[in-house]
Amino acid sequence: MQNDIYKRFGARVSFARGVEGLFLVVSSTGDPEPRVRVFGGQIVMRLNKTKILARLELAKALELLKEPGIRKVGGVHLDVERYKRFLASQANAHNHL
Amino acid sequence: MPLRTIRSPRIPLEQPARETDKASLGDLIREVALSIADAQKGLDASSAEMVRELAETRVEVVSAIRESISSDGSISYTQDKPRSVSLLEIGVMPTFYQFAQTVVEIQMDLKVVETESEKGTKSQNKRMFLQADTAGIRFERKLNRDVSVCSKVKATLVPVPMPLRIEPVRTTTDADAGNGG
Repeated sequence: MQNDIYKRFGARVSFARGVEGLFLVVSSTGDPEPRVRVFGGQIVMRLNKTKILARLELAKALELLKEPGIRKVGGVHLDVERYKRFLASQANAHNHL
Repeated sequence: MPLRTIRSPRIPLEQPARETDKASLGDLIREVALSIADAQKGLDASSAEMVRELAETRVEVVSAIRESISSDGSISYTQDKPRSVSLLEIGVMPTFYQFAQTVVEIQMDLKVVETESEKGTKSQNKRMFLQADTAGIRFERKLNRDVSVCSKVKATLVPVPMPLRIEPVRTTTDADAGNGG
């Protein structure tokens, strides 16, 4: 359910549409995947039983945050440089074995 | 049904409050600035909490997969033992948000007032200051039904890079180098 308090004040709230972001979704009751799918999200990575990385629109992510059982929905992004450094360190470690 | 708030307001909505018809302009501007600063603090705290969440969430990563092609053309794969790493280590970072621009328009009357003693005479240490009065504006809106006389808040949020200072520094060393391996 979307909070409509801003409408009562005659305010306008707008989000840049069309661009999806990456969000970490944490559930306190179980698998958050069904709820994420209801809000049009795509599962990117399943981390464990209660945490997933999903692609969502910001407005949908904020709506999802208000769902009972959803503990956290936080915007994240992949730092490609850092990921490459991680892969390089793994390759170095592997070559020394 | 009570409203569900993401975080508790600075002053509880249930707390009884009396409307004041005037305030010092300095106090008014300070309150507005503090409200924005408080909102920014909330955003930062949420992102910092996300850093902890990412650091505590661990995933199994297979660092290498070897493909072997034998003389008869058959292909076989072997993989390294999965290694547990945190999401933060593999580069999943929280998104920090910042108020890029905040425009607050407040309709009010401004008055220059000066302090006076209880007897109504100007004291020796008289002080002049600006006082904001919104009661007259509100009265005009009520009387003339002029809805253009209202306060406006326009805030624009943009994502910003994670502060470098809280990003852990990663160094890679050869653990076997000292063993002659």
